[in-house]
Amino acid sequence: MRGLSQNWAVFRESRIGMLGLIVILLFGVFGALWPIMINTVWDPLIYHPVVGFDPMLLHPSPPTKAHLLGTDPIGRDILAQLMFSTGREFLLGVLSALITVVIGTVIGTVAAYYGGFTDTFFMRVADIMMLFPFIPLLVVVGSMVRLTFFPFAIILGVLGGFGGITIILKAQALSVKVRPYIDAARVAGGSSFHIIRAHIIPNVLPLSFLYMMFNVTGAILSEATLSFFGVLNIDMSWGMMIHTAEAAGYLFDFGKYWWLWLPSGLAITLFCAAFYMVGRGLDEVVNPRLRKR
Amino acid sequence: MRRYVLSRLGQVILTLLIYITLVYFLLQAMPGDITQMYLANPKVPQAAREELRKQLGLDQGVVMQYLTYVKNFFRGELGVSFSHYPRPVWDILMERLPRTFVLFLTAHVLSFYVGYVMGRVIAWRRGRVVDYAATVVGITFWTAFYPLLALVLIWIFAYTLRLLPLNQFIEPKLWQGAPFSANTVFGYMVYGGGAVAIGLFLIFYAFLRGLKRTRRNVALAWLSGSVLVAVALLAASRAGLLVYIWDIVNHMVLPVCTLTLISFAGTMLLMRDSMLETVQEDYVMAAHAKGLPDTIVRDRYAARTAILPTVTSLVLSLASSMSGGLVTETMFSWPGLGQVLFHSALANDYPLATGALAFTGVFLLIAHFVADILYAVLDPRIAYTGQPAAEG
Amino acid sequence: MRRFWKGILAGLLFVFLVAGVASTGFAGQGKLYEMAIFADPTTINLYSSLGPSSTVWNTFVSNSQYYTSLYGNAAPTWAFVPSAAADMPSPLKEEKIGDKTYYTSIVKMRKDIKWSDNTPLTADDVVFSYNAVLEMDPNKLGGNWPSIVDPTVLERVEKVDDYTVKFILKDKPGLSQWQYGVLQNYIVNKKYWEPIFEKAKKAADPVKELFAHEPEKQPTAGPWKFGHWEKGAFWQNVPNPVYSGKGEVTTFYENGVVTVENPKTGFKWQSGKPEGKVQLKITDGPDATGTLYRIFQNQSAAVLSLTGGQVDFVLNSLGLQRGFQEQLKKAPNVALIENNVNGFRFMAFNLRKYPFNIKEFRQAVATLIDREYICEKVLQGIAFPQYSVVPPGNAYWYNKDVPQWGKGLTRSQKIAEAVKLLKKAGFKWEVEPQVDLEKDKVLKRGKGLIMPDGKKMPEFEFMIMTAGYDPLRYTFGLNIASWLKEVGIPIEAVPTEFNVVSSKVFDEQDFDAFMMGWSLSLYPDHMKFFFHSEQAEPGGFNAVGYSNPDFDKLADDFVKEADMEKARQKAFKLQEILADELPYVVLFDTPIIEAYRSDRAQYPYTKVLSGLQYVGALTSTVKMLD
Repeated sequence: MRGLSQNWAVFRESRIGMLGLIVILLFGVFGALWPIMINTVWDPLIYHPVVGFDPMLLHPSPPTKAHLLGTDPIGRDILAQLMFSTGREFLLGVLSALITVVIGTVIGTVAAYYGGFTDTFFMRVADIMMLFPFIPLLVVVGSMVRLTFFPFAIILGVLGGFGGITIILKAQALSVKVRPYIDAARVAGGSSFHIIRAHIIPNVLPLSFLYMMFNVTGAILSEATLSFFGVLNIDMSWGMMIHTAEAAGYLFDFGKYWWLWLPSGLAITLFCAAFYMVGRGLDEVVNPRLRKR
Repeated sequence: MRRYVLSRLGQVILTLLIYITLVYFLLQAMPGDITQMYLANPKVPQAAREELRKQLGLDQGVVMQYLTYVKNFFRGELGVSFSHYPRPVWDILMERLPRTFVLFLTAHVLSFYVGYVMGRVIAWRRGRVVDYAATVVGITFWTAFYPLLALVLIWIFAYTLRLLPLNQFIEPKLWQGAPFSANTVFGYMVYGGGAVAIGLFLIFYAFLRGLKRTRRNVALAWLSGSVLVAVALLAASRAGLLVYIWDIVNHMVLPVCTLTLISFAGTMLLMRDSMLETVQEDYVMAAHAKGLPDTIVRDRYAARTAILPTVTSLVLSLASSMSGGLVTETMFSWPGLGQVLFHSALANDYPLATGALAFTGVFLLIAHFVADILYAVLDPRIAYTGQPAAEG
Repeated sequence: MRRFWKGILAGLLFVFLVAGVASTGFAGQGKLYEMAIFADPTTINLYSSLGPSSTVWNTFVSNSQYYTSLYGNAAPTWAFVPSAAADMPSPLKEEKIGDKTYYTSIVKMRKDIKWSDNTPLTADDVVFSYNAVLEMDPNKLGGNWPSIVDPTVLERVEKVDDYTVKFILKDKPGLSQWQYGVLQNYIVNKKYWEPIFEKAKKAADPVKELFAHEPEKQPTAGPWKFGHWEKGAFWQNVPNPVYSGKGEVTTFYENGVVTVENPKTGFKWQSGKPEGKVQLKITDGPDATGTLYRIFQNQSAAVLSLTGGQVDFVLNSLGLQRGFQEQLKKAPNVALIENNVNGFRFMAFNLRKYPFNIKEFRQAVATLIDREYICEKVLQGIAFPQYSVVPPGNAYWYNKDVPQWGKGLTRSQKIAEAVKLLKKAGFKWEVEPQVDLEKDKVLKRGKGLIMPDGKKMPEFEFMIMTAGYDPLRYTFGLNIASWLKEVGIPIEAVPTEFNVVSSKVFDEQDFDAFMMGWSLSLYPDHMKFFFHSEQAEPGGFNAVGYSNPDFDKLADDFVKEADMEKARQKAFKLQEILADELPYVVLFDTPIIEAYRSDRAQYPYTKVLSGLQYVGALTSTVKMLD
């Protein structure tokens, strides 16, 4: 166990990780602009990302002074949509990844600590979860329950949490469990709950945190893909922006209507790549063998 | 070991049963049923809707239907599709399988190879520009929004430059009088391609590894390899197959390249990390110390051990590729198993959706099983209860 | 590293090699007519193709291409004309057979129609086509069969001589059951199908056995016969070598008269005395040497291949999206077509619930919705407002004088009008909405609507399409909700998956309000199906629960009416009732946009209700330019 500042020093060594972190921070600033803009500069009737409409222009309109990134086929401001969605992508990604990691960590450590039936049970559950092709499964679920924003984030998180991540985190917890100080704690009369909480979980957490970054990427990409196929019930997101352009037939002449797909497409890629890079950076923190000698 | 294999096998069968049960009831829980499509036409009397329910067995209780399904499933019958009534589900899956198999197998192998080679290189040059550049570019493609990337590539290569076909897996005008069905040709490609690949592997293995690596032997290896390929091509052309195979290959180029572009980074980064661990092993250090050339140490010593985790991930990803890729199949009009799943789920076609999920589930289960055994066999350090790490 | 680059180089070389060889292959298209479709057809078999597996793609590639019927509707005016019949059916006559009374009619057939195996199409084929389906039970065949060979009307068909058949009917049929139903059944080849029906009847599940047959080699009487089907890739039809319609000329005159003349066989028919100018003259072909349907899974690629010249027409029952229209305007050699469609989108309430059953409430809602604003501004002319349950495109049946609630009013006038209507029914407010009519401003938004029974109106759910399903209709739904909220109607728009809406509305009848669309057939008997109280039980089509005995009676009379002009008067009256009582608040529809290669295909006409897709892309009358 190293301190936070030590870990930070290691992380800072990783250029990839730092690059990712900077991009995430930029997105954070961009997303934080939304409430400010809509409450001060932008008229909600025109700039609302979902029901806004600018009656002065023909839509989709190319970038103008009033709409720096143009408007979509039903007259909504692209920049406003992009900004509004940023916050929600953060929420979606982090929420679902958090759920995944919490479930994964708890199950992983419990399975590792108790072994036996608990272990076998959860590992088989993970096996079964990994059998489902992800996207079609979500399509099926989506046609059953209307997958709006929060249910979607939760389902994504839960499905992930019982899946492959438990196996990885269990392996990590196992390696902690066999260390001498765990035995020492047990001999000293520590309860199972105490040992798991105070000794095992803290050692699994860095790895959990690492996987959380990768899961943010996964969640955002799943959302975008499902939105693209029109099976989600989410009013606005980067994926929905592309879907809107595609459904109206504008993803055809790429040069001509670039503002309909480029900003949102780029945002998805950059945002996901940034989280992934941070994950890579963390990998060097968690996994000492990857570090520079 | 034998006990381990047997107990894993038992678990696999149990898992399969639970999986099918889950899939079955999940699909049954979807609102409405296929007879809802009659609601679009007011001239269809209620009686016809009832008759259809009866015909499809939807008038029986869900548990009854389930028991019948499971019984039939383990006898190898997947039932009859609702939306393609009365085509058997098995028939539809078999129609799609060869297409899915050929495309995704090729793409996975290629992306694995590219990832493997690049991972090897960047691990060796860690911290240099090439490491950072490859990592950033790789991650960018890995997290790119796939449908959009596919559209852009289609637009550039197929539409603007007109180098490759736009979409579809064959050119209708060539095939309209074809003596073969596309699936026959796909079949020949799988068997023929497999035979040639094994042949080439044996030839090169014999000449380059088994025998002494002399200039003459290398030349011989290349010569006999070329002869093998030439014979295979000649045979295909005599059978009249070559032009059709060529057409399919031509249609495969764009989807395969797109898939490779989007997924090579996974293997690359895994390989890089794995290499970084092995380069610290003693025998690699020793090889260095012996003064062996850099590339030899890298390729023969470090990479060979490092490939282990990537191979496991390859086995798993190959199996999951059997479920096809909805995005690839849609963007390139390559109707495979992914499309079947998607459309049957949307159309409330339970037998087809369940069948497709179960079918790909069996593939994955077998692959997990094989990967477990392989791992246990290849790496004795892993206890038999250990699990391979699955990479996102 | 160097080896890696070599590998990449080799890969690139391979790609270019493949591309080079492949692109030299097929330059000219000849006179092959190529179309893009978006799903695999499900079968070649007519019976399953019109049964449960019925899809529009089946109709495109086989049904409309292979078969003829006794009568048909001649596009583009949709006049009722004989096809395999030689003249109109004899008037229905009461006749006692055994101890029962039937209605009978005699149909004389053309003698010049041949199957593709060069045998004549005779009364035997016609009799078989009807009686075999009746024997199988049309309800069991499912899909469209019960409405084509309607067992509630048709008893059987008998052969009089080789080219004359007699229809024996249980009941006196209306237009929809007779001219637009029974008489338009497809005719199949008896020699080919009889053994298959015999075998099916002996099987444990006759319907399944019949559907499973794939009749690749069946003789056809239409312009095309089956060629080749590579599942998932393409469907190809080849010409019927002895197609008897080749060279046949159909002429449409100014006074609505249609004449048919076949110079080869000497067949002649006219619907009346031609007067005035010739409006359109169509010579049957086919001119194309074959038809090829390429199966695409995504629209962008299909349109790219249209502009790239690989296909001549994009065949889709939904037409093209507006984005394509704008982008294709400037594409060389691509022509665009825009046509009205036969359908409408609407909003409806559950009339079993209070206060939705109050007429004035619905009228107020209809008044508040600004269709013109949505269609012209938000949807920018890609949709047109609609007020009647019969769309204006169906000109013969459309009543243009139905009440149009709120049309032409400003925002504040609409609100004032709606408040008046609600007050008339006894509604009150905690805070009554106030408007400034001069400045067209809302001074005070309505709050706390109180129903005539004195209770506060609870919030209700308005199911609209999800943004993923259709962003346009989603936007429209949100707009409606915000307008209603302005006067204090506690509506909550809830985006809902289509399957869920359909199951809640039609099967469970558990809903408050929803938005949906219908596409219709030419003969407007949908008015009976959607609003007759006998359809109000779960599973029926009157899911909103509209019940009006006067309407029921008029609707029954309407579908039984066999005289066109009288039927029209009744249809007008029905539309008036519906537009006043508003069981559906009709909103809008979108025109269908299509595109074709103008350097390849030349159509006899492009103006037709529901577009060229509705006439199967005119495969037999299109002229192919080489």
